[in-house]
Amino acid sequence: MVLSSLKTRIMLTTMGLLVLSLSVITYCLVDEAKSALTKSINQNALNVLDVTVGYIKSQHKNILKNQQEMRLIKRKRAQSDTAIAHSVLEHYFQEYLDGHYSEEVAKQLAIKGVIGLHADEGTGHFWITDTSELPKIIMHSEIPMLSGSTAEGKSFECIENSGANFFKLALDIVQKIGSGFVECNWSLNPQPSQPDSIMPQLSPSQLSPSQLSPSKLNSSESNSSKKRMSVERVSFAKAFKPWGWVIGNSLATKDIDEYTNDSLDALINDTSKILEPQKIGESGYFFIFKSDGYILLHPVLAGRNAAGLKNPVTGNFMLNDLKEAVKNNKRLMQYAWDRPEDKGNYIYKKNAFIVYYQPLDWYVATSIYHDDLDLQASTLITSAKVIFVVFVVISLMLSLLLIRSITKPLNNLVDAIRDTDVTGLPILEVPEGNLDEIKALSSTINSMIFQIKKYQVGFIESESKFQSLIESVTDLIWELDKDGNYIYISPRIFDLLGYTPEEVLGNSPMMFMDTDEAQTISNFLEPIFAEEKGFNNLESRCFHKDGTTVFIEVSAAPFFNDQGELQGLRGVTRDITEKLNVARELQESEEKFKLLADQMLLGILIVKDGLYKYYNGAVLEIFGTTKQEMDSLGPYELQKLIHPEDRTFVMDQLKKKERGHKDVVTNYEWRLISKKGKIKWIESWSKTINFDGQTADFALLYDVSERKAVEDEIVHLRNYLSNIINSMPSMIVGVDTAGRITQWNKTAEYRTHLEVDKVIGRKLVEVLPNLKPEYEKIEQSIKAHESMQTKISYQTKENNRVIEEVTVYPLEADGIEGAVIRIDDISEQVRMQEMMIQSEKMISIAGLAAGMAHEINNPLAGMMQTASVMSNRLVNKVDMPANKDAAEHAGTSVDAIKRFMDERDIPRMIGAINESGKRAAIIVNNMLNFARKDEGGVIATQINEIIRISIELAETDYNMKKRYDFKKISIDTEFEQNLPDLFCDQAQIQQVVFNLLRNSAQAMQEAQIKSPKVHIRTSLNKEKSKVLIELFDNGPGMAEEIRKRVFEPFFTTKPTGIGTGLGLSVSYYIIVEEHGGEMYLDSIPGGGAKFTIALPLNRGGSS
Amino acid sequence: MTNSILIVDDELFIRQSLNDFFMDSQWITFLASSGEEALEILEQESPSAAIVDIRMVGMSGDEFIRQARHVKPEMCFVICTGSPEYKPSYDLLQLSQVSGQVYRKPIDDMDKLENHISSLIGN
Repeated sequence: MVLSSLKTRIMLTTMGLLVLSLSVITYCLVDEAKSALTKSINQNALNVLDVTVGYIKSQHKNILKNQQEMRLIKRKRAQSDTAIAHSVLEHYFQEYLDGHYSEEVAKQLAIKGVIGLHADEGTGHFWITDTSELPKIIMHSEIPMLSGSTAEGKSFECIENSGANFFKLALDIVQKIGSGFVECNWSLNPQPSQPDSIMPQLSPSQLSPSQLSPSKLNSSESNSSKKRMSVERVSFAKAFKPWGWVIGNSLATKDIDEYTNDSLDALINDTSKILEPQKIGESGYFFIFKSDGYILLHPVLAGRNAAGLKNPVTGNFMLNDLKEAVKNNKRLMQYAWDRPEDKGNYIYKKNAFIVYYQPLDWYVATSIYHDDLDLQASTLITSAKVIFVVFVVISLMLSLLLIRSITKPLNNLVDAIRDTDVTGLPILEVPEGNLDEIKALSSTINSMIFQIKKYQVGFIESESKFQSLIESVTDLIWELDKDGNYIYISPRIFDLLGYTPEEVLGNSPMMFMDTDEAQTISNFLEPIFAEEKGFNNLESRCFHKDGTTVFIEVSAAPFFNDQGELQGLRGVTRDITEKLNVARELQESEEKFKLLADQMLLGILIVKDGLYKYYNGAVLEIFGTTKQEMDSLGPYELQKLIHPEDRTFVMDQLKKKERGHKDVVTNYEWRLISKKGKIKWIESWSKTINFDGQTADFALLYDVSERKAVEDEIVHLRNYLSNIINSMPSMIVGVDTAGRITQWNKTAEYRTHLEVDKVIGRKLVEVLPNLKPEYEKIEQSIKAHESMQTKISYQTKENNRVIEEVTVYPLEADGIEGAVIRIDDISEQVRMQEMMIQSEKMISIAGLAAGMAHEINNPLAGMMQTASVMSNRLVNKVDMPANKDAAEHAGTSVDAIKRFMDERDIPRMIGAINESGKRAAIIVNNMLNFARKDEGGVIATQINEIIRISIELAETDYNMKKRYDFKKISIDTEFEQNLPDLFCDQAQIQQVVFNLLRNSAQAMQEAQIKSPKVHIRTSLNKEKSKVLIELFDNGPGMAEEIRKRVFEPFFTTKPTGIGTGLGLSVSYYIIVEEHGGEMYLDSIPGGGAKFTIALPLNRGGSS
Repeated sequence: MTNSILIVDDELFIRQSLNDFFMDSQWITFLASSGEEALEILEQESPSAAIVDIRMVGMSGDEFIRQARHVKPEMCFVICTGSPEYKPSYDLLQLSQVSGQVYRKPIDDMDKLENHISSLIGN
C-alpha cells in the first residue's frame, strides 16, 4: 500500500493541513480586509467632509466678523460725514447771522459746500430735505435732478420696514431724537414696469457690473432669492433746525459686499486646495454646490448650474436627491452612474457622501465609484492567491526535504543492522547519523549490542562473577580464602574505602584498620575460620584511603567446595557511618532540647493528677521554690500560692486540661502571691497534651508583672491624656489618613450631640457635613504634613449662623499618620468683630451728621420755606388780596390764574418740592439720631412691656398701613415671665423694636408672603446676665452679602422713597453704642430673618 | 391793628421766605441780615416780635436777644435755628419775652409759627 509508507503519509498530512489552513486564512483575511478597506475609505471620506465643513465654518465666521466690523466702520463714517456736512450748514448759517450773506445766499453756499463734500470718499452721497410731512428734496448730491422734487413714489421705499418712505423715516428719526441712523435697504433690481429715471438706487455706482457679474458667487442668488435683491445702504440723518432742514447721507456698502464675495471666492479656492490632495479611493472627487444647483467646486462642472442634472436611472434631479439625503439626516447616498470609459452605461454604483453647511447654503459632497473599492479588494485577493500558491510550493519542497532527512538515516540504520555476524549481532557499529533522535536511537542500539555482547561473554566466563556484577550496585561483596585474604571483592570497594579491587585482592581485611582494630578483628575471625561458621552484623572501624574513618557492618558465611572442604568466607559489608552519625546527632539534639527547656525563661510545666511531671528552672523561679520543695509537694499543693480571687478559675482550667476537656481557655493571666507576700502577674498558655499515653496539662508560664505595671501606667496615661483632650473647650477630632475618625472628645460630643462610639471609624465628612467645602484642603494638609487653618460658616436648624475655625495638625509620630483637627466656634468672636466695624461706621456717621446738619438745614429751609410761601400764594391762599391786586394789574383775574395753575399742574410741582424737601429733612434728622447722645432718661423698665407698646405703635402707624397691611401680619409673642428690670431708654428701645417690625413687614410685603408671621421672643441669659430679644419672620431672608451690610447707614434694598436706609443702622447704634448691647442678624435666602438683641442687665446708667 | 415782625437771619432766602409769608399774612416786616443790623433797625422801629437765627456772622442770635430786650422790653423773641444740637441758654429761657419753643429749620409749618407768635404778642 502506498499509504503505509511514512513518506506518503507525512506528505499527504502536511499538504492537507497546509491547503486547509491557508484557504481558511486567505478567505477570512480577504473578506475582513475588504470590509475594513471599504469602511476606512467611507470613514475617510466622511472625516474629510467634516474637517472641510469645519474649516469652512471657521473661515465663514471670520468673514462675518470682518463684515460686521466693516459695517460698524461704515456706520461711524456715515455719522461723522453727516456731522461734517451739518457743520458746513452751521458755518453758513453763522455767516448769515453775522450779516456776511443774505439768508438765501447762505443757503445756496451751504448746499454747494455740502455737495462738495465727498461722502465716504466719494462712494456715498449727501441729501438735504425740508421737514414737511412728505419731505421735499432740497439737495441730492448723487442725482442732482431730484432737487426740488417731493420724495414720493415707489423708488423711495425701503424694501424692509414695509415699504416706508426713506426720507419720511429720516424725518421721523430726526424729529424724535435729533439725529440717527436710517435703516433702509434698497431694491436694486430695476423693474422695467417702473421706468422711474429718478430712482436713487439707479445710480451708476450701485449698478456697477462687479456686483451683478454672473461670475460672482451670489449671482445665482440674485436670481432666486428676493431678500438678496436688496442693497444695504448706510444713512445717518441729522436735523438742522435753523432752516428746518434734515441733512443726511447714504453710503454704499459695495465694498463690504465685495469683501464678502472675494472672501467667499477665496474660501472656495482654499477649500479646493485643501481637498485636492485628499484622495478618496481611485476616482473619488469632491464638490460643493448651493441649494439652487449652482456648483461652486467640481472637477468638471464648477461654475455651472447643475440643478437640471438628472439621474438617468431614476429620473430624479441628482442634486435634489443629495439635498433630500441631507434633509433626512443621511450622510450617504448610493446611486448608479456611468464611467468615463463606458459612457452612457449607467450601471456603475456610486457612493456619495454629503454634508450641509447651512449658513452659507453650501452642500459639500464627495462621490466615489463602488468599483474602486472592489478593485482594491480584488488586487488584494489576487496577491493573496499568488502568496497562497507560493506557500504551497515552498511547503511542498520543505516537506520533501523533511521526509528525506527522516527516512535517509533510518534507511542507513536499517542497512547497518541488517549486516550481522554469526551470533546474529551486527558486525559494525551502527552509524550515528546527523539527527539527534537518530543519534539517540543508534547509540541506544549500539549500547544494547555492547551489553548483549558483554552479557554473552560474562555468562560464558562465570555465573558467580555475573552475580557479583549484579550486586556491585548494592553492598560490598567479597570472598576471603582460608587464609583470610581477598580472592574476590566487588568494585564497590572503591566507593566505600577508595581502593580498586586490584589493590585489595590478595590482602587481608586488616589492611583497612589500625593495629588495635586489626587485632580485635583478627581475634574475632580466628574462631570463625576454625569453627567454619558465619557471623552477622560485626561492626568495625576502617579507614578510607584518604584517611577518613568509615564504620562498617559485616556479615559473612563460610563456603565449601564440592568435597565439603572449607574454601573461605563469603560476605557482605555495609557502610554504617551515616547511621551512627544520625544516632549521635539525635542524642545530641535531645540533650540540647533538654538544656533549652531547663534553661528557658518561660516556665514549662506538665501536670497530671496534680503532680508535676515536668517543670523547668523558670517554674521554680516563678513560684519561688526549690527543686526539693517542688518534688515533695502533694497533688495540687501549689494552688495555695495562687491569688484567692484567681484560684478557682486557674485550678478549674488546670483540671479540665488534665482530663482533656475541650471547653478551655488557653491563654489567661492570673496572680500569684509569692512567699514574701508580693503579687506577681503570670500569663499562662496551656493545653492538653498526650503525655506517656495519657492526657496531661501542658502549660507555659511567664511572669508579666513588669509588663502589667507598664500596661497600668499606659492606661493611666491614656486616661490622663483623654481627660486633657476631653476637658478642652475645642472640638478635637482625630482622623487617620483615610479621613476616618479615631478620636472624638467630649466637646465634640456636646456640640454635635453624637456620642463617641457612634462616630469612631466613620468618615469625617459624613459626621461633620459642614466641613465638606473645606475637606479637600484638609486632606491636602494631612497628606503634605502641613498644618493649616481655615474657617467654615453655616446655618443651624435654629437659623443661627455659626462660624467655626478649623485647625488641622497633621500627625506623624511613630508611624501613626493622620491628623488632629481642632474646631472652635468663633461665631461670637466674628460677631463682635463685625459689630465693632459697624460701630466704627456709626460713629463716623455721627460726627459727620452733627457737622452737616446745620449746613444742610439752612439751604433746605431757604428752599422749603420759599416753596411753602409759593404754595400759599398759588394754591392754598390764592384768594389773598395781594393776589387779586396783582392779577388785576397784570390784566387778568385770580380765577384765570387759578385755572392756568391747575392746567399747568403747578400745585403738584410745588407739592413735589415740599415732599422732597421734607424727605431730605427727615434724612438729616435721622442721621442726627447718631449724634444725639441720649437725652431721654435711662430708667428701669420691663422689656416685655416695651415690646408690647411697640407692637401697638406699629399697628396704628398710618404710614405702615399705607404701604402694607399690618393686620395681615400675625404677630405672636413668647415672653419670658419674671424678667428682671432693665435699665434702658424706653423710647429708644421702642424705636428699635418698631424699626425691626417695620423692616420685617416691608420685606414680607415685598416678597408677597402669603401668611406673613412675626414671632418675638424674650429670654434671660443668666450666664451672661443679658436679656435677649429675638425677632423671627417668615420673610424672604437675604443673601450673605446683604446680611453683612444691613446695619450699614444708607444701605437699603427698598425702592427709593420707601426707606432711608437708616432704620436698622440707627437701631444698631442705639443697641450697641447707647446701651452697650449686641445686635445681630441671622438669615439665609428663603429662610426668613432672625434679629437678636442682647441687652446687658447690670448697666446702671448710660454711657 | 397791624402786627409787625423783625426777621433776623443771615441767609437771604430764609429771610425772603419769611418776609413773603408774613407779608402775605398782612404783617409789617423788617429784615436784618445780622444782629448788628437788627439793633440798628430797632433804633428806628418797634416791631412786636422778632424771629432770630442763632448762628450768624458777627453777633450771635443769643447776644442779639440779650441786647435787644433791654432796648425793647415789650418785644417777643422766637428762636429759629438750623443747628439741631442748639439749646437756649438758661438765662434766655428765664425771660418771659423769649419763647421756650425753639423752631428748627426748615420750618415745615409756617402757619403754626405765625399763630404761635400771634399768641405771644397777645392777639
